[in-house]
Order: sequence, then structure tokens, then C-alpha cells
Amino acid sequence: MTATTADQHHDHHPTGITRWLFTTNHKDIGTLYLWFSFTMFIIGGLMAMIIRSELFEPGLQFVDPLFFNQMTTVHALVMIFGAAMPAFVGLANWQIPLMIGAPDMALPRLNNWSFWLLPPAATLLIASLFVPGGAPAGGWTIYPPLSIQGGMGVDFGILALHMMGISSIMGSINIIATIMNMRAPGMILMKLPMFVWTWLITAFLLVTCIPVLAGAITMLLTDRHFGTHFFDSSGGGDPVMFQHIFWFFGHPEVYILILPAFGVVSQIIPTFSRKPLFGYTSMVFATATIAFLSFIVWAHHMFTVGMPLTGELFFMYSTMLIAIPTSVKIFNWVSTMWRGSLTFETPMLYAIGMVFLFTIGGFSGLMLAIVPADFQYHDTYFVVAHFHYVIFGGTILGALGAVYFWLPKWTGHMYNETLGKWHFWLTVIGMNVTFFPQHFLGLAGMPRRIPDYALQFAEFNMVSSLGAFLLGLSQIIFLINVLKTIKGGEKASDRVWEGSTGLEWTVPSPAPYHTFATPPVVK
Amino acid sequence: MDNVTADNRTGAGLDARRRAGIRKTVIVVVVFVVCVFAWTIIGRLIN
Repeated sequence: MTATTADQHHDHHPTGITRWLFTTNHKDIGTLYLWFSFTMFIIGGLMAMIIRSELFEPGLQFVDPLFFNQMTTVHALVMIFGAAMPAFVGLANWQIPLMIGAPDMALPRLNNWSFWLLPPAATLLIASLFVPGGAPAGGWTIYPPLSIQGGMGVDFGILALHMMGISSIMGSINIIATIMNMRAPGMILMKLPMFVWTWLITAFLLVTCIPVLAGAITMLLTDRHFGTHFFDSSGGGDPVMFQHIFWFFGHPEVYILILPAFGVVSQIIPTFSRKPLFGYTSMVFATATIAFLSFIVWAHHMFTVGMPLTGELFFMYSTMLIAIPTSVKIFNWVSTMWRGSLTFETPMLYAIGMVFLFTIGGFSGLMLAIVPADFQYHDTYFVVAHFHYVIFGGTILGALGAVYFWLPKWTGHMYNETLGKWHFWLTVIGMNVTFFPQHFLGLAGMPRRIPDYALQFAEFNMVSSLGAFLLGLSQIIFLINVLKTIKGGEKASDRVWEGSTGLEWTVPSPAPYHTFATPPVVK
Repeated sequence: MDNVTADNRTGAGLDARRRAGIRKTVIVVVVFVVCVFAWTIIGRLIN
């Protein structure tokens, strides 16, 4: 793939607060998303510290049970909707136009609006902690009847989810319109970088499943305030129906979180293996297959509600089927590394860490897919361990790897490699010490979402809490490294990495405010 | 797509074919989103 270099003119940009409030520039909006995401990551992380402090030893230490439940609920909502999703929308904003040779996103003003809906939504969600009755406390799944009976905080949560959902839908429309219409001449779909492919598929997932969540929480709101009984059994409604609708959104949501991370890893591994990605076409089709399957597996989250055996068998086998396209991807990453000229800079460490840890999460997911086994594991710490391996080990490690990978292109400076490696190893050790013992806790029967537990679970909980404190503290290194890189440091070359390929590496480092005003030609 | 405006807000730099493509994409996706949202609720009402 060759291309003309970018137009380096038009590098002037507005300054001061108005630059950020009214910006329509994809790089500015990407930066806003990434800082917002990191802020929410810290807030959600502090909530996790409260949870792990309380669970450090048996008995009630610091918080009352209601507040503990609010913490588990809001931690999840903040991390999923405030940290993980915006992180990848930020990466998409920065990278997609650069990778497809477009001057900007297709709908720049909508882009500004998509971002600026998020801070009020996050404020609303966190403000729910301070209203009478407190924040939503029934888990991030907001199942009725708890969510119908909850206080005003549930309304705050529902409104915040609506706003974040609208933001996601608008962001997805923008991404689809950009990829379908703004590609440089010669960049056919099967030449798209994998990060762009995974985002295109993720955007389709988002526009399909977020309206379903919006519908579900709208009905919840009318049940709470307008006398309807969609999910209220006292009026003939069906709370299990809510679970079906929620998980029809909720399972694709997991893939919304993980597919862009797959895309990042598919960019990083070939770069540091100095080889093209193995099996590009199969990667594209595997991603699309995972996206399709994500819509026919939702009830594996609710095996214990008492569905017919045929239903349980269908959802068990369809869930197991996801292992096939996922294995294709893992096989392709490993094959890309096979006999490559590997070097292990920080982004590569994150990519390999992500592949390894996500695979552990995938295996425990297969265990959970087995109906009779799930009856034992359901609602235990085994589930908590499983999804943290998927979401932290997969999504967050992918996002951190992406930041290290593209930070020199964004700032024009190389990050501190020593600090990057310290951050990686402390994060990975912290993560495993936190979440691996939770498998044992779950298998031994410790339920999730409880502030106190039986004495037999004390040792593993103490280890898990120590790991969480290490994990939390190690993120300070990341912040210091990013700030140092923004401020100065060794000058990054345009290509940054020896094995870099793709249009984003043809523009200068730091990337000028306006790029590709004249479209490059892709051969 | 020969040039872009300095702030790129208006899309004036995009050629007519691309602008029409963006418009079509947005209309199709928005109609799809509204239909999914409506069906989620209407489906419950008619059951």
C-alpha cells in the first residue's frame, strides 16, 4: 500500500476553551474522548478500590451494604459506558480518518455533539449517589423488580444511559458514514486496516443493540412513573421479559467492547512482528461471524430462569460456536508472530498480554456456556473473574496498547519505554492477582455482589484486594508517562515504528491539525 | 474531494457524490435505529 504524503497546510487551529467546546476536528474530539475515558477509568477504579477494601476481610468494615451495592452497580456502568466505550470511540476518531485517508469524519458537527453529551450523562450518573435513596443498586443489568422499586437514583441512571446511548448511536452513524463514503481513492473495503474493519462491524452492532436498550429502559421508566406494567408482575407484566430484552442488548455489548480491541491487536502484532497480518480475509469474516453470533446467544446469561430444555440447548451450542471464529483470530495472531522478527516494545507487550489474558476469559466463558455447569457458577465470583478477564484483559489492555502504539504519532514524542514496561508488568501482575483467585472463590460458591462473606473465603479475598490496590496504583505510572510524552521527549519519526505500514504513518509526527486535505491514492 | 475548508465544518470541500452517499447512509441508519427502538416497545404492547 503506497500513498501520497498528507497535505501539511492548514495547521492553524483555534485556541483556548472554545477550541475544545466547539471543535469539529476529529483529532481534537478524539483527544476529548480519550481524556474523558481516562477520567471515568479513574472514577470507576476508585469505586473498585472501595469494593475491594470492604472485601479485604470478612465482616462489614467501611461501608453499609446498600452503599456497597451502589458501588458495584455504578462501578460497572461507569467502566462500561464511561471508560471502555468512549476509549475506543476516541481511538476511532483519531485513527479512522488517518487510516482511510479522509480529511475528517463525515459528520464533524454531529461528532462534537456525540462527545459533549457524555460529560452531562456521566455527571448525572455519579450525581445519583447523592440523591435520596442513593444510586441504582440492583446491578448494572437494572433488572426489575429492584429497578422498579428503587429511588430517584434509578431515574438518574436511566436518563444517563439514554444520553450515553444517543451519543453512541450518533458516533456509530458517523463512523459508518465515514468508512462507507470517505475512503481514499483505491482503498476498497478489503484493503481497510483491521482496526477500521472491526470498528465498522462494531458500529453496526451499536446501531442494532443500543435502541433495544433504549426501548427496555424507556419501558422501565414508564413502569416506574406512568402506571404501565411491562415488567411488573403485580400488574401482569413479566420481569423475565426484561432480562431477555436486556441481554439481547447486553451480549452484543460485550463484543462492542472487545472487537475494536481485536482491531488494535491486529495492527500492533504485524508491526512488531515485521510481517503482514496472517489471514487478513479470515480475520474480517471471523469478526463479522462473531458479530452475527452475538445476537443469537443472549439467553446464556439467564439459564437459571427456568427456560425450556430446547432453549437451553440452543443457547449453549450457539455460545460454544463463538469459540470457532474467536479461535481463528487467535490462531492468526499467533501465526503472524510465528517466525517474525519480533521486538517487545510496550504496545507489543500489551498486544501479547491481551491475546493471552483474553483467551483465559474466553475459556472460562466456554465453561459458563455449559448449562449444567452454569447452574453451579451462576451469580458467583467465577462470573466476576470471567468477565474481568474479558473486559480488563481484553478491552482495557487493548486500549492501553493502542495509546502506547499511536501516542508518538499524536504527540510527536516517544513515550518513556522503561515507564511503559513498568506500567505493563505491574498492570498484568496486578490484574492476575486480583482476578485469578476469584475463579476459586466462585467455584467454592462465593456469591457476587455481597459486602460480607463466610470465613472460608477470607484468604483469596485478601489476595484479590491486594492485587486490586497494585492494579489501581500502577495506573499512576501510565498518567505520568502520557503527561511526560505530551510535554516533550525524544522526537518521534513520521513512521515511528520500523514495521509500520498504513496511511497514518505517512503523515508527520505529530499529525498536523488537518491531514489528507488532498486525498492520497492507495494502490 | 479536492479540498477542505479550514474548520471542515460544512463539508463544502466534499464532492457531490460523497455528500449524497453520506446523506443516504445517514437516512438508512437513522430509519433502522428508529424501527428497532419502536419494535422493542411495540412488540411488547402487542404481546
